[in-house]
Amino acid sequence: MSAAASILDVADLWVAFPSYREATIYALKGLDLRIAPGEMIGLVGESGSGKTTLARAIMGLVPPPGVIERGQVAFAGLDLRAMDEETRRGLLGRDIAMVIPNPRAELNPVLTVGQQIANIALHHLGVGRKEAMAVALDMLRAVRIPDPERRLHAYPHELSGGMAQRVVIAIALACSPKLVISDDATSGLDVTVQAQVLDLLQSMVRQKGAATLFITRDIAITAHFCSRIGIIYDGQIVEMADTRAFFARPAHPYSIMLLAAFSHNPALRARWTRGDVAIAGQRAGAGCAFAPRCVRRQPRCLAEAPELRTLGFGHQTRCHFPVQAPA
Amino acid sequence: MQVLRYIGRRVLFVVPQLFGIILVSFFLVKLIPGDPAVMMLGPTASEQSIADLRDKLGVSKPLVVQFGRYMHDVVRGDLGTSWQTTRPVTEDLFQRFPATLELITLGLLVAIAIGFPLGVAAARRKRGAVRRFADYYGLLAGAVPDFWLALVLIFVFYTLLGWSPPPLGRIDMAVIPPPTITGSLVIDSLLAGDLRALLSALGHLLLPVLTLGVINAGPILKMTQSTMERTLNSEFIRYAETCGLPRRVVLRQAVRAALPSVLTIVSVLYGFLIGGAVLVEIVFSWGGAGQYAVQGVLNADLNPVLGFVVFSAVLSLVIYLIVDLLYFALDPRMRG
Amino acid sequence: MRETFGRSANLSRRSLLKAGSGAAAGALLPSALPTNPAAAATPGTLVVAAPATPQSLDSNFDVSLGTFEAVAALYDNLLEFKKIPDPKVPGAFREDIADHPDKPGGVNVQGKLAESFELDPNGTWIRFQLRKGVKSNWGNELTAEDVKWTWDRKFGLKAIGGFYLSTLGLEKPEGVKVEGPYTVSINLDHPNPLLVKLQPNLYAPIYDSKKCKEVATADDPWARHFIENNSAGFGPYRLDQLQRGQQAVFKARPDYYLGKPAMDTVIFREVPTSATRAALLQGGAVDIAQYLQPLEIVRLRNQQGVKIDSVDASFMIWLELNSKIAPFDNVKVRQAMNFAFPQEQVLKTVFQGLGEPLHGCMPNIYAGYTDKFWTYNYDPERARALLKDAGFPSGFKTSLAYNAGDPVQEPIAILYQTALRAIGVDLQLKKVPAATFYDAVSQRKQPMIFYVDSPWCPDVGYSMTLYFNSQSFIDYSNYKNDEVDRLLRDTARTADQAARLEMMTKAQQIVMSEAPWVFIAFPGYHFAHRAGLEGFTYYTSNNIRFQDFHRAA
Repeated sequence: MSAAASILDVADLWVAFPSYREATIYALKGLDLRIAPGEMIGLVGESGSGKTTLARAIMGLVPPPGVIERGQVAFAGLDLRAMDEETRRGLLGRDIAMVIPNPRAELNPVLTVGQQIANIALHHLGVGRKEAMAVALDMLRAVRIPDPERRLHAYPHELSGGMAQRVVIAIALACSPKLVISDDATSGLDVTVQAQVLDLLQSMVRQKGAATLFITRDIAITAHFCSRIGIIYDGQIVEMADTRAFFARPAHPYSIMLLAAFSHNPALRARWTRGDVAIAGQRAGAGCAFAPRCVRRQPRCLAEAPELRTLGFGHQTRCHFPVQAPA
Repeated sequence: MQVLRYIGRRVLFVVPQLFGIILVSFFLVKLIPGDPAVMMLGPTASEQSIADLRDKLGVSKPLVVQFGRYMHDVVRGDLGTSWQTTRPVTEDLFQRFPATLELITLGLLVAIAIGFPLGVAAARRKRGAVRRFADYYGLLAGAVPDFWLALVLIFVFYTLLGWSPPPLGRIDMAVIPPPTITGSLVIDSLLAGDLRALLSALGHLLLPVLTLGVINAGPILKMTQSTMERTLNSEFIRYAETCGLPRRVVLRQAVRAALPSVLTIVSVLYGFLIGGAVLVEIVFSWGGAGQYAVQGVLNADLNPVLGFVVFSAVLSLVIYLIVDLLYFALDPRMRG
Repeated sequence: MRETFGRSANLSRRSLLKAGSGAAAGALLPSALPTNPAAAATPGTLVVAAPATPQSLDSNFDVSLGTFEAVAALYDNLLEFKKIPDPKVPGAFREDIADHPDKPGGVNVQGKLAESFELDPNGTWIRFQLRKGVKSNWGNELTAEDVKWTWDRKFGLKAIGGFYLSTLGLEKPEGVKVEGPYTVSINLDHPNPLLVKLQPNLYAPIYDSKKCKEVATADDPWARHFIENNSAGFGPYRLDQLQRGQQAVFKARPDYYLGKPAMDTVIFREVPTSATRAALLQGGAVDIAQYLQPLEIVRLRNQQGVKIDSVDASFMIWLELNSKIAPFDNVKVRQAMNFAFPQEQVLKTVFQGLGEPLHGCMPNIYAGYTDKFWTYNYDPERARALLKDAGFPSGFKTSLAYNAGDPVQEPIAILYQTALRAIGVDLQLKKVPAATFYDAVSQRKQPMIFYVDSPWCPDVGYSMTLYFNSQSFIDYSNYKNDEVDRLLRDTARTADQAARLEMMTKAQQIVMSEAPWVFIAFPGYHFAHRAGLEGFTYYTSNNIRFQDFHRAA
């Protein structure tokens, strides 16, 4: 995969949160990630692993006091970090769109659904107010909201969670973006609704030919929708593989731990979880970040941080002692 | 329709609310020490003449009886008579309330004009000159007493520079005020097409309005700033940012979202200033309602004090009703 | 306001709105705002900035600020003191209140509504010949009936008039006799030395009885309501408008029998803040600013266009030492309290050097005053010794009540508190709201309380009796001395001025040595006005009379 062929190329990205009294906290520690056009990639991690920071860093909107310390973020070959703000704002919402997890809080409470979709069209597509409203109506239809003419004039608080999520998808896809970032987008929904919305998102993205970065805590979801899966832990990718390869042969102990957590097999879960470490995210010193929680920990793991290494075709992991056999 | 039902319910509540306010304030006001009879007759009066006058004023009866009599009259729109002005309190207040309302309405408009943009500007940047200025302003406006600022403004703009008319009430003594229609000299002189009266009234409003504006811009500034900071950090504004909406559009959305809080503080200030502007009224010899009530307190003339409370209560209820209606207009969630 | 909401009013309003707003839009530039600081310099208009507008215009009931300015303008009395130039302030005048043994009653008075009068040498009766052709502001001619009715009203209403009657010793209405259409006499059972001196008093204005009877009702036979709000008098002005809390307007009467006053219109404007009154005077918006604070007076003295006439006055300020509350029942303690009072310091810092020390117990401008019994120069050692003698070697604890509405009282109280600490007296300060201050004074329950007053009638017996006669209801210090009571009674019953002066010297000696007060100051009268305004006359009633003023040519 060459850089030119990827729609998003994140390389060695460090995001720091300086703290007044204590040592600076790094949310991302030299993260690498490439997404090819049209590709749907899942990124799984616990809360605090740096998923959301990554999404924001890509858009250039790391919340203060966070700063991107170094690294590269390129979108379709354009260096997003070197870009001036106006140009970047022009890209956001048009070429890079975001689907958010909590739409009823994140949609503007005092604007109607129609106005909010139309606003995007108005500012990114350069159409008039009337046309923008037409776009909004089309999008509501496209996301299969019942009675779209009426919903156009509804306020966010008048919508159900699933319906609001559809509106967010409509906003994200209104300008046919090249990259959609979905950040835990369905975590707030009922399971049944979740499935519907995910189906919709998938079909919409496919239809528009957009690449998707699908950030989630729920590893099960990625199995259905993504072609590749990345596992993120403490600001780094610890495993990256094609979906089939990943589920067939997860290599990193953390990946296995995540999978075990979703299984309904207590024995399996117990095998992959250390009893003596309760707190996640403990500092690992010089060694592997996951070492304190790792059931397969060796002395080397505490002394030396592993590099990302390739196991097979497109399968990479960051572990001194990757799991070789099916778990 | 919902709005109408809401108003109806509110208006229904007004009656018990008013009764409660009058009940409490009646007994509180009666606690104000001072005997009107002594005040009226002065130090050389004999005890007999004081007792006679007390009987005549009805202040020698038990409080409950006095309250009953008072309520009996209030229901008929009679707030009693002021012994100082010898006129019905209702008439006095109808004459004086517009003066106060004109003053504080314009004062608050100036306060909004200063405080709101400054608060928005200060919220947008955490550092820099604007933010520092806003911080100092908020601090000073909270610390400087309004009557002191009024005296300073008089000294500078009247005594030293001679730019403002003398601080002597609402209109130049040589100017004949326009016929009373609303009680606001500005509006009335506009209605009468009386340019001379209008200019005189505006000139006299200049310093007191500036005083109230400058002082009350403080809380508006603080409220706007904190609300804007919160709003700019809120999820929907961050979402708007991720959607790549232009900066001015995002700012407009944030301002719009901050409006209800600003409206709240403005309405609270309005209710407060009906009586709270009294020191400014006194310094400028404004002849407003607050001044009237304070004179009442100082001279043990209690009907004006009670009347003032009743008027203020009604007015506050009206203001809060208007504010609620504005909330309805500003925030669709209220309509649900 | 509500009545004008008629249909026609609506119509005309709308049409005028257009014209009005159009015209205003062009003129709303700051430069177009009226900025005429010298608005008051209208030749015939006198503008007075006063702390309050009069509450009532009836001097029988009301003693509020402004009432007597109004009464003096609206009403005339039978007699007035002749005027002489003020010895201290060039251009200012004052009443000649000195003793004139050669003149009837020993007083230099002249007729006002009375053309002439006859006086019984023993002081039991006085007969007035009224001026003919004098008209009230309602056009009714002055007759003896008006004088009679005026006195009847005092009998009918009691209140302040009752005090006035008892001071005069007039016990029944029949004492006032109509002896002809223009002749009226007052007849007493006992001689009274004040028969002439009390006539110019502002408690004795003559009413237009015809008008008053017209407006009287069964409920209100003495026209109280009317006189409170209007005027029916023979004075130089008539009331044009009274908006209490805002302003009173007086118009000069062209038909006034002594000629129309120079100031045609008087606007008596309520300006509650003294700093604002000072600013208005300095800026030229008003001609007169009343009741300024000492600091403002000192500042204004050096301002161009402003003149301060500081004249000796009948005002006194003192502390009442309640003789019925321990330890002030002890004369030595009262004396000690005076020795411990830092009088000089108070005059310098609080009064800014504007007053004079109170070295006696009555106004120093009245005949008969003496300061030769003054011994209380600041002497804490003496005070301590006296306290020791009195049985308080380590001092005691007491309290001082002061009026929150009078800006000089608090600093005096604080200075005194500090000074008293030196002799072991722990003084608690009690701030009393202005509204209840009179109550607090008249209840006589405070061990110490401030009092500011002036006896209006310029007479030694009158002054002394007010404060030191144990029967007087303004003997607020509960002072009682049988010898003083006897001297006062005798002084009130004889017209022999030489004997009166002798008795009153004796009374002053006793009072000064028994110290029922802490003597503070004669604050003086400081008349602040525009430089071009002339004619100021000082009256012992401490008020201004609009008819005195004119503008410099």
